[in-house]
Amino acid sequence: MGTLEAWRNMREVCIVGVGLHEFMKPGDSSVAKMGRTAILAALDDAGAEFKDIEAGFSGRVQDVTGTGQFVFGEVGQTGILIDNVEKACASASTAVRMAAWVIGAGLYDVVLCTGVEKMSRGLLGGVYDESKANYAQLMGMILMPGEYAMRARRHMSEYGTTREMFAQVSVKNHKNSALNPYARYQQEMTLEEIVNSRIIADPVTLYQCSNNSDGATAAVVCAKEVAHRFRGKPITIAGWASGTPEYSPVGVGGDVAEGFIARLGREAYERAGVGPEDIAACQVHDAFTPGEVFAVEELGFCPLGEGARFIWEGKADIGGEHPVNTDGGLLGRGHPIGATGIAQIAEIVHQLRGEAGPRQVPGDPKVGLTHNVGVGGCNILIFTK
Amino acid sequence: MTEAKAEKKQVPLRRGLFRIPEEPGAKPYLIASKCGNCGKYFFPTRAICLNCGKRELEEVALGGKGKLYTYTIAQQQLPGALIKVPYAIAGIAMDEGCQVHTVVTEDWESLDIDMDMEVYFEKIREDAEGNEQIVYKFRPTKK
Repeated sequence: MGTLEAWRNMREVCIVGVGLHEFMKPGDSSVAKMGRTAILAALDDAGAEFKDIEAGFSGRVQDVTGTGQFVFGEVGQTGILIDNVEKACASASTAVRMAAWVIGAGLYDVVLCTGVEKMSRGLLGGVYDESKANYAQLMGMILMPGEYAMRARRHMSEYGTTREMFAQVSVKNHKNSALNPYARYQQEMTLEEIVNSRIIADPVTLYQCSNNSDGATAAVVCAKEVAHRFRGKPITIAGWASGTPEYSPVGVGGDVAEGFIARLGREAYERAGVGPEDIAACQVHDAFTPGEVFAVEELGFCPLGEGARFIWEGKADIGGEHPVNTDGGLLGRGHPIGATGIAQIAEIVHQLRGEAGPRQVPGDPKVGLTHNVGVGGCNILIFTK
Repeated sequence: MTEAKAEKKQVPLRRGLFRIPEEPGAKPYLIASKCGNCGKYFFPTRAICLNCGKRELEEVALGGKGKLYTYTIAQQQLPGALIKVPYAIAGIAMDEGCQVHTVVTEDWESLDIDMDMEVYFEKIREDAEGNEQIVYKFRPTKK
């Protein structure tokens, strides 16, 4: 039996509650307070109590060991299974996907997923101890936007995409985050400001990079057949796909390997029984602006090579054909790496429930998608109501 | 009475990516793994073929020539990096079919996708014993 058939045989799983702690500039935040705040918000949203939770998955990247036990312990100590989950920037969506599997398999009915990160400022990836540094690090080859910038450069050469088109992703996402009280960035920014900001790795400028942030997120996931116990309107996890890039002799590779998102997108669509035309609200991994361009075209919202134009023409705006990152995305929310995945999911839950307020996609959206990438892989999740 | 002076050697900045021949005048070369079963090349060297799974790949010298697959101009200085901005980070599609990641510090302003590129080797600094630490870089092939 293949994965597709096995998934179809599993119980229906849904999310009944989501909660966040606001995302902030790295500082003296407390992991305990952030985690507790997000968990209580998710439980309240669900109309659940900690004693309802039968198992937990906790996403965090830095200082992972013991985090789940510590953060859950802020709320209660009930002896449940708590696993710490790490997939870099895709940790929190991994936690939700694990919950979907164990609930779908019938092992548990109600699972709590969390994501938390407390970060320091500055670029990830400098050399602080030369004896531990490899050749690529010493030679300045691992500059964080590097892969995204390299694929962007080729996109410009192959498809005529311009620097302004990449920057427009950040314009849109800052406009959206100004409507999101939990987002770190509450001010709109102009195209000129973004294009003219300091170049990090051309064509990616400073304001086209998501920023290390502190924050926490949580979700209550349960079997559909017990969702009636909770007040939160259930949103079904209809499909998922996770994987790593395949071998290719030449290519940018890594997180932005050409065709990676498209392959996982097809698997997720098949498992959910939907297609790209059905996706009414979408969250993609805009760690750097080109990431949104690549995702939009590989997820099938437009032909390959047209992703930048699609966004430039407003088709990914809140009122557009395929609204993307309606809450600001990584660029507008900030990026607490272990927590981001559930922030994406929370926004889709709000959109499908019709409770996204000023960010609400019109027309009663019924199908949503999240795309979350981390060193080591990618998770795509599809949600329906 | 004169003190014998230790001979300055050339050593790679990090081992395993290229060889510096002992014979004076012989040029250094990048080393790759070649699969005896399916013929694919891999850089850096590796133990098992990613294409067909064969174990114990053969070490071979790369010819040093390829085409520029893509690049970015780095403008933000990475703490601790030995290369100073601005420079290009590049992916070279080698003639042998594998890819080499590199930096371009010579003629980085004149790069075009698909242009012919060639490897070269130079000293980046000296180590504590006064040996020259050697690195590989690429530049547009000189006509």
